[in-house]
Amino acid sequence: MLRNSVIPTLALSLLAAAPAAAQAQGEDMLLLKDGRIFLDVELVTTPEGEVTVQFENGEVHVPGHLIQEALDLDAPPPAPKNAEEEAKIAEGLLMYQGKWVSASKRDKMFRDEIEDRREELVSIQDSQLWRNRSFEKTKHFEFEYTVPPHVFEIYRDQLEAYFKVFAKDWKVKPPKDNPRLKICMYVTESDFLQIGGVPKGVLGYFRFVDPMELNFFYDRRDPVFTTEVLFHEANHYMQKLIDLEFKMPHFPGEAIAEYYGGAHWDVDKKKLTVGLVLPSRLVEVKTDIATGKYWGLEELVSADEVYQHYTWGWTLAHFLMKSKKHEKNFKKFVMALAEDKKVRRESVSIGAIPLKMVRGSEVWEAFRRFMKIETDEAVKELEKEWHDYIDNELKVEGVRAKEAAGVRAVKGYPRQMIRGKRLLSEAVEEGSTSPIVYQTLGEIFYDDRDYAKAAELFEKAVSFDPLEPGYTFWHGMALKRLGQSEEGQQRIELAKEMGINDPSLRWLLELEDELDD
Amino acid sequence: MPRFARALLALLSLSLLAPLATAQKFEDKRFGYELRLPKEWSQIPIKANEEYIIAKFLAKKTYFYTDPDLKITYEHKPELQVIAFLSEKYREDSVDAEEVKNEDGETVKIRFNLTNPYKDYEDFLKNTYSGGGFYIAEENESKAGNLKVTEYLVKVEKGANGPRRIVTWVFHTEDIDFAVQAECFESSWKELRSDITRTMKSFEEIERTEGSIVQDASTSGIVEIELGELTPEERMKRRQAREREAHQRAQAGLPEDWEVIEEDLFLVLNHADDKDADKLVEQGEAVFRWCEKTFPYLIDDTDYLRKPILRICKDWDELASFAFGGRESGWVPSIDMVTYKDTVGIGSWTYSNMTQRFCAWWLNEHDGDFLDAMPYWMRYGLEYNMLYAKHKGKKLELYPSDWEKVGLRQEIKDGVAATPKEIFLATEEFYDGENSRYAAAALMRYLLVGKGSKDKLTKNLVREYYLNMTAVIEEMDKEEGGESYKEPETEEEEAAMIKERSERLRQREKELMEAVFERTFAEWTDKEWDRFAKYYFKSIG
Repeated sequence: MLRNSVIPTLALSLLAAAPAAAQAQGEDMLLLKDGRIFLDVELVTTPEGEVTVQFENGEVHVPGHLIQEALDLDAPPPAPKNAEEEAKIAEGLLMYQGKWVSASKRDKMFRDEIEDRREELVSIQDSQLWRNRSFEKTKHFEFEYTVPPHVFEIYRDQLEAYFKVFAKDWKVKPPKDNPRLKICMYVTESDFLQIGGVPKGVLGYFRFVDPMELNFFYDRRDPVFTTEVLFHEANHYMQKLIDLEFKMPHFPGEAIAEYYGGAHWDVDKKKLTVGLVLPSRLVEVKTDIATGKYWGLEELVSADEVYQHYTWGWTLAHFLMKSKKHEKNFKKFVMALAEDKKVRRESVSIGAIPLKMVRGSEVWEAFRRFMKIETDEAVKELEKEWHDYIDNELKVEGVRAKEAAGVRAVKGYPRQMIRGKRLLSEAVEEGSTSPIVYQTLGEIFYDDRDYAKAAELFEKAVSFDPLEPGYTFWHGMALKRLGQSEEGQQRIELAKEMGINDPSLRWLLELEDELDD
Repeated sequence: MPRFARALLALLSLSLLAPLATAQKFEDKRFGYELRLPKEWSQIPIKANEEYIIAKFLAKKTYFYTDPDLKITYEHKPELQVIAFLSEKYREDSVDAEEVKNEDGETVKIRFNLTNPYKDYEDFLKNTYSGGGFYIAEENESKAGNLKVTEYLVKVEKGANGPRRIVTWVFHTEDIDFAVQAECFESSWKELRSDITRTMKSFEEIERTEGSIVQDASTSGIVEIELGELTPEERMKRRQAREREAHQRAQAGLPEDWEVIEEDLFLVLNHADDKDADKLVEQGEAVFRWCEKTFPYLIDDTDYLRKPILRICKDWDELASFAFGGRESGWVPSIDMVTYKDTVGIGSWTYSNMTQRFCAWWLNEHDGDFLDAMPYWMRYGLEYNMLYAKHKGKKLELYPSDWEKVGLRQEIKDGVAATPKEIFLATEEFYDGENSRYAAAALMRYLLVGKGSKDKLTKNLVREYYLNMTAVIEEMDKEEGGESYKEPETEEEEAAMIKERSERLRQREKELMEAVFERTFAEWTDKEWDRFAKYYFKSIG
């Protein structure tokens, strides 16, 4: 089970798939790539494909790269590309689905198409309720999901690719009598928590006894992190395939799950790369180091269950798996925990289901044996090699790394506001396009009363995700602080109209009262 | 009141009231509705500060479900609740915050009325249900006479102790939405379906003739923040007022077949036998008397020991249903102590738990700061002694644990038992092992009631330790209060501050322990320590 040690804030609360209180303004529809569906809105579409959503309190321009589909009933037909097309138009004909037809016929066909599509989108929206969820089977998984199909497909494909990589790496396969794992994917975090029956802070879980299943949610504001969570939990399933009657110990179980969680799926090339740096985990490790704490090899490996298996454990797995010298032995060690005759296992039952497990002290003995570090000197040597790897090789580099590390530093515990501010500022300078980054940095400047800088950052956040009411709201707040009361209030009203009355966002409304202080 | 008189009163009380078991019709003249319940369902009390649940009922029969994979069998008694959602006009009448001023017009207190944010049944379910992962499987609109009804079928599946079904009909009256909610195992639904459906269909509005549907702001959902210091007399008056309020709330809405017994030191609300109540009251009284005798230095003339409410449910299911998930645990109890009919009696977990709560209650009432600041050896020492304490007549007697009789003796024989000095200086990690807590209990018993309480060297030790601890904490707080905090300006300073803070927390506990130890035992010689250890170990046998 993955838990989030970051203190829940705005970032986690703004996960509405569709604005809860957006008022019906028109007959048009908008489907975004991140899965949000807007029905009964008023769109203005240009022949060049630019889309603006009309609200009572203002217009919202939506960049093309966010749009999956825009259905504007009043959309003008495309502009003619050449003289031949100009001539056809002059005759009163319009191009529609590859044929030239009369304008009236085109209008009718277009409206019929829009109606059909409306039905489909309404159906997709309805299927966001768990009782109307969708089902799909692939080679290794049985999915139940409430995200829109075009979002689902991305995770479906990458999970199958991921399974293939791990299965080949570790030579595992599912049992013949149970070839598919059930995967439940929820369109929002709140649905996941409610239907999955887990408390806030849990990001995903794998039920490791029959009937096995995996539950996780789609974080539309951080799809990359969604993949990390999915891969982490799926990895527990794949570890289970080593031996169905064996419960992998917390270390190396969580460490390997984190290692494989740091994977990237190239949607276009359909290629999976594993073993990337997890910046959020690295920040936690670097924070421990800053407080004077280096976890020792024995201390970590022999512990039965500590949180540091996710963080320091990940660094150890990363170090060992990336090392030609150590990778093979590490894999042997992991397999040996389940299979080797010399490893002492104990029986544990989950209800009537018997399992074997290995205690931390025995995990350490096996680790020493298989990593060939049976003397204290050898242990110290490997430990030093590992610590040096953390100090010198694992760095927070690249925009994505700085984004994740910066957010973690600001919202995690203990808070490191100065470090977080620096990392987020660097991410911005290096061209981050994550609205969360701009929002988070904007809040820091807002708290420091640098409202001009805050407004600039909130405006950027809005430009990256103009239909997220929280960003617009904050922008309005900053403008009001700068004395731009009318424009600021208009932004706030626009945010409310877009859906800030959603229960998860209600607390933001209390901030409005602060403006009067 | 003599026990026989109380028993007579209880008998009279029971005969005058018609228990729910033989009369299926339930009327609520306050909220104005009635329901016909299935046979042998009994009403259970509502928590005093509950704003939304207005009635609760429990089936008599227990149902079972066995998980086909885990082969674990769960049990559950079907439950029915009535939840009321008042219209906006009533919610607007609630006071959100009220300033209380003294004669000079200065604000001395701010009272916040805790208004519940649930706007409707779905909101309520989402925010309160904790029986497992759930979703609304069906939602239909219908009518019951002139009333519009929304019918819900909610399925509870993942993370539940057995798949369940919640069937709720929400009756939309003019100014209240009544949600009548029934919950049972999915596998039991076939058997219960007609009874529950009949109950739902029996809902009717009746005239409201008793009381207000809006809770009195002075008796519920109030948080008070006192500003400034109260005089001892003001403190006593406030405690008396709070006791009255709590007692009133606890009795309001109590089902008819519950007995109310006003004892000298307890208010008993009893749904079990008379004998059960007697045993618990006697145990509680013995604990209070023991505490008075053992800790006289904690008692102040202006202290007021509030009477706790001893609420005895008839069984575990009733307690679980009342308490929404389990009995109270934790060192400091609330004034409303809920337990259930204990068929094991003295020595059972329930009994021991109540004894611990009685002791913690008395200590908290007299010196809550002391209770908060107690060193581990004292806290575990008392807690674990209460686990095995029994009353004989009016007297409380402390007994060793089973582990102490065998395990600790063996440790002493093997020369590895922690000495008193080691126990006094032990930090939190030492007490991770439960045996260490029993060792602390043995030491406390030696000092409070054993030979240590008579030995010249140690007879006043607990008192001296307490006085020194109080003084050291005050001094440390003053020192920390005087420290100025500088905001870090660079990442290096920020990292250093984080490091220093995490070290300081670890250090503070150690410093406190060592400072109190130093003050208490400054004059002690090695010989005295050896003597202490020798007699302490000898007392274990």
